[in-house]
Amino acid sequence: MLASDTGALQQAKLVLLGDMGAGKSSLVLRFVKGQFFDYQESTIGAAFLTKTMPEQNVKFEIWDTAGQERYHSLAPMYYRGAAAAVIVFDITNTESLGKAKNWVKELQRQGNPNMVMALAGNKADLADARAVTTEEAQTFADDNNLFFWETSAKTNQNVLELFTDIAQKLPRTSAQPQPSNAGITLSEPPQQRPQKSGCC
Amino acid sequence: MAETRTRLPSTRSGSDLSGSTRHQRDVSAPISTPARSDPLTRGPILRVSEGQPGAILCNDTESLDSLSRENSASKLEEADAVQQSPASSPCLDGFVDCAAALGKPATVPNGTHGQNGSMTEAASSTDLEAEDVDKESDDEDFSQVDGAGDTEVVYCREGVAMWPTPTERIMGRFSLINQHSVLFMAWLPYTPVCLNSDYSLPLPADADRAESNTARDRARYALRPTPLSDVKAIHKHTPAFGWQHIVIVPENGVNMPPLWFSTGGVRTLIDTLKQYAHLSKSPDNPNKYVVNDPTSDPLHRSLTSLELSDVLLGGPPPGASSTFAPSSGPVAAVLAAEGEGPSSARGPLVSQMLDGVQRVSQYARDTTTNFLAASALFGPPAGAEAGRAGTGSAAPSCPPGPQSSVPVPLARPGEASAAAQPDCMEEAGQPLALEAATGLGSFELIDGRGLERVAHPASRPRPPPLTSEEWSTFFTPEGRVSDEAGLRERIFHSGLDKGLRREAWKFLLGFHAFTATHAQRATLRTEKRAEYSRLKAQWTSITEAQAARFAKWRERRGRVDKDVRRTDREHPYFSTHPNFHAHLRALRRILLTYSIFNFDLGYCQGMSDLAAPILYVVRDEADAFWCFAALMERMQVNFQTDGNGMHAQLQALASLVQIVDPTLHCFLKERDCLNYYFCYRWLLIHFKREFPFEQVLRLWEAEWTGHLGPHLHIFLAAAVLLVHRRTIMEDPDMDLDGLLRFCIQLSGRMDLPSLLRHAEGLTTSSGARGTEAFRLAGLT
Repeated sequence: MLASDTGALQQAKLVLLGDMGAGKSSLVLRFVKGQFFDYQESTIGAAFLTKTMPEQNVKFEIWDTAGQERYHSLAPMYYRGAAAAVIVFDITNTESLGKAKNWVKELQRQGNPNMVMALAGNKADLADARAVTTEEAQTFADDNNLFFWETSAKTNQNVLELFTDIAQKLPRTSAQPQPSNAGITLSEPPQQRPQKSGCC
Repeated sequence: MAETRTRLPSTRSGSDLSGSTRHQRDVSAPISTPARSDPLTRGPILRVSEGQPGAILCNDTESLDSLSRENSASKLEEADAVQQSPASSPCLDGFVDCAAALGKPATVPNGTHGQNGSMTEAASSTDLEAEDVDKESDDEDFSQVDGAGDTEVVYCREGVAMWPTPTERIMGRFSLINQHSVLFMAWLPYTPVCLNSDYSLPLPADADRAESNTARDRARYALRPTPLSDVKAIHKHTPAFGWQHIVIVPENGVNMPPLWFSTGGVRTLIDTLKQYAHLSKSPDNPNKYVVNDPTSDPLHRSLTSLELSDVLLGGPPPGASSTFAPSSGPVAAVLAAEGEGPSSARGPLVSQMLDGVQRVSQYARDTTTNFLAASALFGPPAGAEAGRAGTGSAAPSCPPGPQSSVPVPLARPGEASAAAQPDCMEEAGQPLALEAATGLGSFELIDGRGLERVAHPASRPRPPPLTSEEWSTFFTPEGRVSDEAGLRERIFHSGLDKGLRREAWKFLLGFHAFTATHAQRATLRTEKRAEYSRLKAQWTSITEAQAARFAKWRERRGRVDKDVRRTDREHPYFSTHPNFHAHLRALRRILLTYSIFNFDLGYCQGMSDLAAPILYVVRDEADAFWCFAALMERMQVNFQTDGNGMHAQLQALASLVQIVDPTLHCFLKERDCLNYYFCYRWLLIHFKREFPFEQVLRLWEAEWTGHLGPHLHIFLAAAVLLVHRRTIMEDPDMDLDGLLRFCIQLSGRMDLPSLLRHAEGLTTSSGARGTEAFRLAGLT
C-alpha cells in the first residue's frame, strides 16, 4: 500500500534494508521508542513497529528486515508496496556500503517507482573506525536520488531528521498535509535532494 | 548462592545424591574431597568451601575448569587452540543406596530427587577440564524458575524394597510429589550413578551386592511418578513384627508387587495421603484403602483448572501415555461403589457453568477418549482425498460410525456455512467434521475450532519433570537405555528437570546413542573431544596475515562476531554471570568451528540462537559443539541457500492447516497468504524468539524426543494459528502484511504448555493424511 490518507493521518509503509549488523533495528528502535541497546539482537525474518509523527501527519508502519543475504529472498515481501525505504550501511564497514548499493539497485528495479528512498550511514559515532567517507556515500546518494543522512542510533544523531525528511517527501495521495507546518516551506518536490548530512 | 543452594539442591548438576543437602555433606563430601588432588581443582574448591562446605562436591565437576579465563582475555579471540587433557579422574560419585539410611530429605521444591545421574557421562570422561566453559558454580543460572511450577515432595521414604523374586531385592525410595495440586506417587529403585574409572560399577561397601543381578530389571519395576487418580486402592500391611509393606492397585487392576518399608513409615504414608486424597477403608477389608482422588472429581478438576493460565488446556489426549493410559472403567466402578454418580452425569453441567470454555474435566476426558477412538475408526475417508482433488461432492459429514453414541460436544453451528463455500469442498468428508448432535447439549469454544475438534485436552495430570534419579532407572548397569520409547515419551510429556538437561540433551540430540554402553559413550566422547580440537585448530591456526588474504573467512568470522555479541544477552549466562565473557567466547568458537566443519553451509543468522541454549545447558564446549552439530543435522535444511528446506516446511504447514482447519485454509487462500511466510521465523529457529528462554528449552527437548515425529514444530505452528483463528478471520483487513504483523506480535505472548498439547492433538487428528501431506511437501 502506498502512503494514503486515512482521515487525518497518512499511513506509510516503510522498510529498512541493509547488511547485517549495520544497525537497522537500532535505528528503528531509537526512532520509535527512543531506546538503544548495545547488543540489539539480530532480526530473524522481520520485525514490525509503528510510529506516528503527528507534526508530519504520518503514521509509519515500519518493517525491519534481516540483514544476511541468505534471507534476501524474503525481502520483496517486505518492500512490496512500501512508500519509503531506508537503506542502512555501517560507516565503519566498506562492504556494507556495497550491500547498500545492491539494495538500491534492486529497489530501483523491483520496487515501487514512487518509493521515497533514503540512505543512512549509521554508526556515525564511531568516527575513529570510519571506513566510508561522507563524500563517497553522498556521491552515491546524489547519483541515485537518495536522501542521505549520517546517523547514530547510539547517540541519536540525525535519527529523527532522517525520518522527518522521509515523512515530508512522501507523495500525498489526496489532501494536503496538515497546515501545522504551513509557516515553513518544507514541501520540496521529491526529486529535490537534501543537501545535508550528519557528517561530523 | 547459599540461599539458592538451600532451596534448590537439585540445581547442582553435579552429584547431589539425594536432593538433601544433608546428604551432600554427610555422605558425599567425605567420599569426594580427598580424592580431588588435581591442582586445577584446588582454587575452585577452596573458594567454594569457604562458605559452603557442602557445595564442594556439587561443584566439583563444574570447577574442574582451569584457572579463570575471565581475567586473562577480554576479547573474543581464541587463546585455546588445542588442549590436551590429563588422564582420567575416576568417578567420585557414590552409589545412591549409600544415602538411603540417612533419613528422608526435607520437603524440597521442584524435582529435587537428586541429580545423581546427571553427570554420569561427564564424570566418566577423561578430560573435563579441557573444554568446560565454566569455572564457577552455575547455581544462579539454574535457579530460574521454569515451567515446572511448584513441585513439592510431601513424603519421602528411603529403603523401600521390592522383591521381584524371593532371593532378589531392589531397594529404592518411595515418595509422594505434589505438583499443581495433583499428587503423584513414585517408587524409584536406587541405581548406580557413576562408573569407576575402569567402567565397573562402584558398589558401596554396604550395598547388597546381590542386587546388581537384578539391576537390569529395576527399570521394569520402577513406579514412575503416577498420579493418584490412577491408583485404585492401596493395601497396607503393618505387622507387629517384620517389615511393613503396601500393595498398590492401579486402576488397571493389575497389582504391583508389594513395596516393603524397611524402616517403617507406612502409617505416615497413609496419613499423608489422607491430606491429599480421600481414602476410605474398604468395608470388607480394613487394611484396604480405596483411593478417591479429589482431583478426579470433575467439578474439583474444573475449578482447579481455572487457576491455570492456559484456557483451553488440559493434559495430553488419553492414551498418549502408555504409562498412564487411562482406563476409566474400573475407576468409574470404584467411584460408583463409593457412592459417586457416574461422572458423565455431571460433566455437561460443569461445562455449561464454565460458559462454553472447555475446561479440564473428567467429562472432557471421557468424551475425548470416545471421540478420538471414533476418529480413529473413521480413518482417512476415501472421500477426503477426492475432495482435496476437487472432485469430491459435498457429502454429508461422516456418519458417526459404529460408535453411534459418541458424544461430540464441540460443534459450532456458525462454522457450517463457512465450510459450505465451494472452495472448501474438503470440509466435507473430514474425518473430524463435527455435528452438534450430542445428547448432552452443544458447546461452543471461545476460539480454536480446529483444536476443539481434536485433542481435547484431557485431564491427564502431567508427572513432574524427569529427574536424574528417575532418568537413571531407565539405564541398564552397562548403560544402555532399556525403554527408549518410554523414556522419550516421558520426556516429551513432562520435560527434564533442569539439572538433568546437561546429560539428557546429549542423548536427545543424538550425540550419545541410547543403545550404547557407558563405556562406549565414554570412548566416543574422548574421541569427539579430540576431533573437536582438531577442527578448531583448522581456524585457530589461521594467522592474521593469512586472514588478510582470505576474504571468505573474514566475512564468515565477521558474521559470527556480529551475532555472538548480541545473542541471548538478556540471559544471565551471557550477561551477568561472572564468566559470561568465557561463555561468549565459547559460543563463538563453537559457531566458527561449525562453519569449518560444515563449510558449505557456513554461518547463517539464526544459528547462534540455536547454539546458545545448547551451550548454556551442556556447558562443556566440545560436548556443546557436537550437540549443536547434531542439531544442525536436523536443521541445516532451514539454512540452505536455495530456501527449499524452509519452503517444504511452509508447504507442509499449509497442507496441515488445510487438513485440520479447512475454513482457515480457505480464508488464507482468499487472502493470498498460502505461502505462510508469516510463520517463517517460527519454523526457522523453532520458536526460539517466541517463548522465554527456559520454555524454549522445554519445547526443544520435547521436539527432540521425536515422540510425535520429527516435525513437532510444524504442528505447533498450526496450533498457534488455530488458537488465533478467530482473531485472524474476523479481521477484515487481514492480509499477508497483517498476518506477518500479527505473528510477529505474538512473540512472548503464547502459552507453551497449552500449545504443546494442542500440537499433540493435531498430530493425532491429522493422522495419515497429515503424514501424507508432509511426504508430499518433501518432508520425511
